[in-house]
Amino acid sequence: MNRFALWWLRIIVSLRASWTILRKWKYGLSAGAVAIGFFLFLFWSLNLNLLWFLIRAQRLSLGDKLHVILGSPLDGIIQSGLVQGGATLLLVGLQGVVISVLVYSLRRQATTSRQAVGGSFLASAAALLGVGCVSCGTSIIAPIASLFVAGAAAEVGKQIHDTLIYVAVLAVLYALYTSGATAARTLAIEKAKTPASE
Amino acid sequence: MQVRWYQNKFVWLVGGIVGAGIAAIASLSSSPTPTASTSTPAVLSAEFTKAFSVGAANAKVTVVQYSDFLCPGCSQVSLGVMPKIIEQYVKPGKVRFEFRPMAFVAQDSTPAGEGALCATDQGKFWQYHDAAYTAVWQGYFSKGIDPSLVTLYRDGGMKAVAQAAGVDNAQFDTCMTNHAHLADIQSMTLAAQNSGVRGTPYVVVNGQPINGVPTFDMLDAAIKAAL
Repeated sequence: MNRFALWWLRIIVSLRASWTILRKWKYGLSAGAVAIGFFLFLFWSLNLNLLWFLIRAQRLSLGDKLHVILGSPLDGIIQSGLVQGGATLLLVGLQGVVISVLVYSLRRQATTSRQAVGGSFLASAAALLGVGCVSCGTSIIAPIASLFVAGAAAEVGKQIHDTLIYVAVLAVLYALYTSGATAARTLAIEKAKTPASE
Repeated sequence: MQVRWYQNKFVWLVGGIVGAGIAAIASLSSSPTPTASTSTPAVLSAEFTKAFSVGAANAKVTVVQYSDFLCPGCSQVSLGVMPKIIEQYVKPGKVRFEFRPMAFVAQDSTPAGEGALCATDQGKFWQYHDAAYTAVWQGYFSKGIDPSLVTLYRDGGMKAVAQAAGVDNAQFDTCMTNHAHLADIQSMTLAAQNSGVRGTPYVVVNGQPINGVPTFDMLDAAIKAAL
């Protein structure tokens, strides 16, 4: 079997293991909850003060609060365009799956994949850095870029910023692959331990 | 040999990244708040303060928008969000809206800002505001063009914006050629930055700051909470 075929087989095994875990309702539900939580955190990360203010506001009904806290991120996705918005939704969805699969392996084997945890954290960090607009000064990329390239910080920052969401998606795909591989091993061990009659 | 968690370099690396991320977010979301009472930079003359404001002076809520004419997000707020806020809250007298021009995003920001002040001399600030944001949105930002690549005000676009705003061309040209308001727009930008405005759009609702582009629902909720 050549290297490419082996690599492809690993991806298939990894995805199947992740799918097997997601079909268990607890893990499917937690994947959805993590995805929604991560999505809300990404959107509100620039305005945590406002979020807290709205949560505490006595003049707003619970319905108003839920509408603005959950509805505004969806408006934000629509405003950000098809490619950027689609990539963000893909990222948060995959992040939910990765975390759920990681938790499954951790609970069953008390072990997890370092690569998966690293990939997931890298994806989260890249996604957070990608929030805001570099040219307008609402992103934290420009100040970071200015430490290295003082003259062209905005331009370099913009280029970094534009690619961050794709870096985040690649990182979370890698995390999905590695966490799925760990989960596949966990599932195989469980299957081996299960008596044949069951 | 068993490695304890605190001896693991990976744990420290991940912890470092998470810590840096939290610190960055905390610093962004807790930026100094220009409150309603201090939102008007001292450098802004009474004439400009009046020209840049709409709504009842004694309204219970004041919404301040710091904005650059070359900022894509500001175009979205000025053309898409604020007209609804003005219709729903400012016209009934519940909210006073104040606009604070800044010029720092791109090379064309300064002439665009000067143009706004020259139009103000003729009592046409809001007409210029609408014409400038519409021109830059339709010609550039709706196509995803970066502010640094906007050449509107170098390609004769200033005349088109001025015409759309309905200003007297001769008077406007003299004002622009003499850079009559260059120092003013620079002072306004500096004053806003000194009061804690790090990026635009930056909207303040009765002292509650909103970083980045707010959706209508966000502003609506913030106003309702303050009313």
